[in-house]
Amino acid sequence: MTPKHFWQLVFTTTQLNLKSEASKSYLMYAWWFLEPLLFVAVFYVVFGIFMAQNKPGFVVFLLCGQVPFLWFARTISNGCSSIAHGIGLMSQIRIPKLYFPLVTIFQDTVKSLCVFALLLVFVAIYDSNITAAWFALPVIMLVQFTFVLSLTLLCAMLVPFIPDIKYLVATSIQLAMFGSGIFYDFRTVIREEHVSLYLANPLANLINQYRSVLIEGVLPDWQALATIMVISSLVVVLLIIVLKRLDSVYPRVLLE
Amino acid sequence: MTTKLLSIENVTFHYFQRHGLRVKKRTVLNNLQLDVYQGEVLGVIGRNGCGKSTLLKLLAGIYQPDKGRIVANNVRVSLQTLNAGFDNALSGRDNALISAMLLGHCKAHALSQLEEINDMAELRDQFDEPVKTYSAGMRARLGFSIAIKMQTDVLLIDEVLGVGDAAFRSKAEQIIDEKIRSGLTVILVSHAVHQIRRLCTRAILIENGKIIDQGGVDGVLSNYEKTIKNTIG
Repeated sequence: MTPKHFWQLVFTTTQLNLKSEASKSYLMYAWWFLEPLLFVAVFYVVFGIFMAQNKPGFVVFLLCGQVPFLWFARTISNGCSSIAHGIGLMSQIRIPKLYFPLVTIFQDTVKSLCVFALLLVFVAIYDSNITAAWFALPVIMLVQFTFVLSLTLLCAMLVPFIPDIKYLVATSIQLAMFGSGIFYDFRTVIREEHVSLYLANPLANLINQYRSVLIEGVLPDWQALATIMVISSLVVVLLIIVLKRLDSVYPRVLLE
Repeated sequence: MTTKLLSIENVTFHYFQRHGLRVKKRTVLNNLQLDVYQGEVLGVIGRNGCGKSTLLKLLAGIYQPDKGRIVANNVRVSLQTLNAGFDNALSGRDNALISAMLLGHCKAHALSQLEEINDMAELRDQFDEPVKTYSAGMRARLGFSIAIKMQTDVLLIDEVLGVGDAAFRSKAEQIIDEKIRSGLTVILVSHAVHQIRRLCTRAILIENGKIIDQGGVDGVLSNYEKTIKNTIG
């Protein structure tokens, strides 16, 4: 399979899977927006109203954390079983196993991009505060994509060997939600001496960068972004090399 | 029957069955030796679990042998089971596109073949309806037509032609006949003795992971029937 053919196949499958998924519900593509909105609504009711954090701008603050988090969470939870679920296909044809995680990652990324578009429209209307710093957003998103890609690949590659990891993934996503400052501002909650440790969590760091740009209108911390990008890229390259070597091992591991 | 397309050289293959943390090893194919020649239709017979399907998976490159090697001289091999994984929510057309691309064709070529696939599968307007609305026979026709249209050099068929109505079955056999005459090499795994007899030019009989008989179809088939009778009697 040539690289050109491989990418054609990945993109066509992604496109058709999205179409298939949408056709399975009454509201179809509307769910791409409704699902994240429901999440935000629940968070808003709990943290904004019940816990009385109803300061001005809390909704935007919440959205800037929730939207990137949902991209992260959905991609990993859908992607971690992608290779394992590909067993039907891989027992019939010879196919690079990278195909399976890539398709789920792209599917969730397309959906998340729609939600990001909605977020930008919302921030623009609510805050009427579009600054030049917004040009940095695609960079932050690219870094997040690479970070999510590295974690999803790792989980997808491990699950066929150790299916039990699926349970750990679900718990870890919960932990990531609490540890990444989605519904709190780390500057008011985390003690001074723990801040660098908190920001060493790439997801918390990325969410902080989104907020810098969208709420404060300042440029992100380029050095932090570069660090996450370089480490994630290295991990991705390493994992792809390992995946190529294990290519013919997966059908056997999954069928036996 | 001169050019050698594929050869299986001393191939051994094990399965590892896992029960919790314990692993049990089972030999499926044991030091197998086989050559496949251009234009032949090779029938593979043997009882359930004798290693027939594993053999096809090795030939298709899905598995790598534990010992020995498989030499394919620049040929495209594809395995076709008729219950290929269609997405029920998508139309026959979308499924045909993805299947054709999965079988190794670029998007442009796959798109150009869709109408011919529809003609052969006789789905007509239903081609654009979701596959979940299809009958079992219609799905089988679609799968068969994709496999035949998106031709490869060696077609591996696992237990086919059992589905679909009588008219389509005879059409399918006729199409396979034509393909064989045009030089396509086929390896057919089947329990249907009459099908092997009608379509194949050579046959092998596998028992306990070894080829115990090979050669002319009639000889091998009567041997197969004998082994079955011995087990029953």
